Amino acid sequence: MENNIENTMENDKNGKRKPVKRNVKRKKVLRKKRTKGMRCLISGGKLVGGIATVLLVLFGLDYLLYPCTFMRNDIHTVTTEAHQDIFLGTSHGKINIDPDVVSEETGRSAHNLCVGGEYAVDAYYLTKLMIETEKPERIIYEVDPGYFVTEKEVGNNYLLFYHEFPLSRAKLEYFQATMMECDFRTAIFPWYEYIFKYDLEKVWETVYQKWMHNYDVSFLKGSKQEYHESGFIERYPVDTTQLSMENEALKLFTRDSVKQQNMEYLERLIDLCRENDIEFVAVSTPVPASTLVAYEANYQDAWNYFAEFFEKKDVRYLNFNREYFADFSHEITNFTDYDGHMNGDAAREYSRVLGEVLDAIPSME
Amino acid sequence: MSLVSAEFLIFILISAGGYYLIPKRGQWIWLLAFSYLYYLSSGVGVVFFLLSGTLTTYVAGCSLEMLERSVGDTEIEKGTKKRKKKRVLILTLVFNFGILGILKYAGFFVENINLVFHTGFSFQTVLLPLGISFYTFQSMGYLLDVYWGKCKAEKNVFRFALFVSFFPQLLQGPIGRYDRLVEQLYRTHSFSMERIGFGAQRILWGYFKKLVLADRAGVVVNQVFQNYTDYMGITVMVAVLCYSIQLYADFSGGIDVVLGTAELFGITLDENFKRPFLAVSITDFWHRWHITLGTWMKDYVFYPLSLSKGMSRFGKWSKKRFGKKTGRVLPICAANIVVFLVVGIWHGAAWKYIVYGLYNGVLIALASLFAPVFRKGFEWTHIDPKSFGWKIVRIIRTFFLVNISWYFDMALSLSAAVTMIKNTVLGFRISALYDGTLLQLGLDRLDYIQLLIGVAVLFAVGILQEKGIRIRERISSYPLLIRWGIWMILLFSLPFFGYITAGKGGFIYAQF
Repeated sequence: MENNIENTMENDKNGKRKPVKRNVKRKKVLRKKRTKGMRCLISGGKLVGGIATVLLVLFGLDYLLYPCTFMRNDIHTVTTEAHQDIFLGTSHGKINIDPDVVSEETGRSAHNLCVGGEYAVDAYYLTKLMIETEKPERIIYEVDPGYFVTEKEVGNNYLLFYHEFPLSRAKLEYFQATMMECDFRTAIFPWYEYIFKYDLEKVWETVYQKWMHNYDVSFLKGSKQEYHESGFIERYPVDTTQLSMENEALKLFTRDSVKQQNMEYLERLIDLCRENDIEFVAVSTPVPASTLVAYEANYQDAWNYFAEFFEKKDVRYLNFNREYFADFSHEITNFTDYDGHMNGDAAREYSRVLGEVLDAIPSME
Repeated sequence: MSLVSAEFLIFILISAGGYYLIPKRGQWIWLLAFSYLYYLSSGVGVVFFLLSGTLTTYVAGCSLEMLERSVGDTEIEKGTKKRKKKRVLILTLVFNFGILGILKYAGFFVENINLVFHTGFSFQTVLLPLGISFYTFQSMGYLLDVYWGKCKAEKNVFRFALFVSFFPQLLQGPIGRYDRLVEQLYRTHSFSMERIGFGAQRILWGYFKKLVLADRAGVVVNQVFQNYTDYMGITVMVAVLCYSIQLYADFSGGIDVVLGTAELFGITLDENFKRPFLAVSITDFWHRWHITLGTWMKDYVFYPLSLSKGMSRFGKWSKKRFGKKTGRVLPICAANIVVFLVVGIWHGAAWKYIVYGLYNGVLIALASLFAPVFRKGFEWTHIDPKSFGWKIVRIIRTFFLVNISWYFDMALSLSAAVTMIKNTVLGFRISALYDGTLLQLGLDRLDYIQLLIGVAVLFAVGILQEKGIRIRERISSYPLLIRWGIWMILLFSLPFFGYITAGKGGFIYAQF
């Protein structure tokens, strides 16, 4: 009996280590039975089980809490359906270009993949993704000069795209180029910026859409704007007499404040298109005349800068604020703000003009 | 590579994974390679500073030992040897502290020269290499130890390079000691599930402090300290209290991540914090706050200074002038003031940091000088200095004094700190606590509630640790479901209650 008594240290109720005598006969037998390999297997199993539990919870929360954005629809469309023309760019492109109207003029299928917060880096990896899945024939890149003098905010702005990328090499490269630097919560808990912004009803809606693989655009209709299947967001007209230029947070261009990283990605995007036989066209959409006048020096500087850049890169640049200024009215009544976001009717009219211009001018390629 | 970035987590996952998969005798080489990879991620140019510091200290260490072993028993030879050793030491100290000084303080120096002499000198400020203050202090500490014969010089340059560059501690300390690190860094480590778990838990706890508390409190701090002329009274006080939370949660949170990461490799680094806000005096506070800097200063500045010939002469003079008791204390007071002046300068190149250091040094000096007066005060008032009530009074008093020092630490400048102190006293309006003023500082009600709950958790954990309870060990003794539940709650508190900051974020002490 004495041989089976083991002096051991154990935690008491207060967590203090105390010497304890205990009968270890049964324990010893068990220990003998468990070989080193078995013990490794048990602790390995515990580790795998623990990690699997955490991953399961993370996946479940992502499923519940990460909302279905219009980028989910957009990326799903461009990676599963073939399009001849893809529009890339910022919110100006998203709101001012209706691909369906452009298609009517050009006779080519098109989708709008622009979005507010889409920098050249995002456009580059979106193009890489499309090359992997459904390669377009032409990229029409909407140039907003403000996006070349500001740095992209890390975090959720990357997630908007990254989260919707299907498993692919482009996704991996995009992660390495952008998400790596982000707060780890962005990668592990992609929903963390949304949790307090969504009510319960929205959660069920999200689950329903994901579970049913539903890409119905009616879920994306808001009180001020409407998302269309073509990727175009139609803004409803506003009372333009109530608008004020002072309320606009315009990102004004100066040559000195150009962020080289943004220009590098634009260059890489052009080169990528060239390597893959994709035609590349640059477009600057109309800005209200009063804004152009108020910040004339900045806009002139920007148009000169990009004209020189695209000429050097041998790229067609359709600037509707200079060379094609007269093709579309720059009256504020066509817009919903002084930054240059049009209302739906004006956007359709502008898209018709854009389609005509794209159709009329032969490719440089 | 920020400690809160996704790439840092991937980096430690790969480095720790590989560490246990490769042959054990190659583990320290693996660590060295990853340490330099980590450093390279901040730019190739900065490696030059790390390498120059490492190589000069390594060569100096070996030279000191060679000189020590060199034959020569006569007094003259001993004297020559001593002089040579001193020359090697001073040369290396000047070189390494010189680089640090030029990079960190030359701009400040030139600025003040121009101000005093109305000159127009200019200095091109360069970006401070990552963690230069930490690794310079660490390697100079080693050199002094070799010089004093406390430890032997490292013969293998690569091993020494690992001691200087061990990546978890490179960014924000703790300032390691060669004698405690050397054996751990180079011996082999077997995979231990328990240790990996403890390391991960420590990292998690650090992230909780940083993301839930520090980043949230930092919003109020930035708003008030950046626009200090707009705020008065209680609003400034709340901002200073928030700075207490921010600085502690940020720095100690970062250290938790560092210590947890090191634990993944089986290496136990020195603790840097020990519940500082439960300190009963400023001296006690500095025994609990940034401990490794404090002990470095004590060992390499305070003691050499106190035992120096000059200080001994000063002691004799003060004994004659002020009597035995005061005369004995005065040299210690002077050494303390010098030490804290250095601590202040270490924090940055600005007058506000010098005042911050002096403030602490003078308080400690005064406490030593007036200790007999306080003792008499207790006798007269019949207060038991060991009673619990008096301890609470002392903790509150120390917290108050520490918070005054934060004005100098965080304010935009020395004059801004003085203005803020004046505004705190003059514009005192209790209604600011409930009339919505505090809700205009960037945080809403829910944020303040989360901040208070977070502080309560931190405080409760602090009290338990103060009582000697080892939290992680205690939790590990609980049934599986409870212990996983606790860690899951902590993990998911990061996305649910963590504050979302614009930009890449980062730790305050990572810029030293």
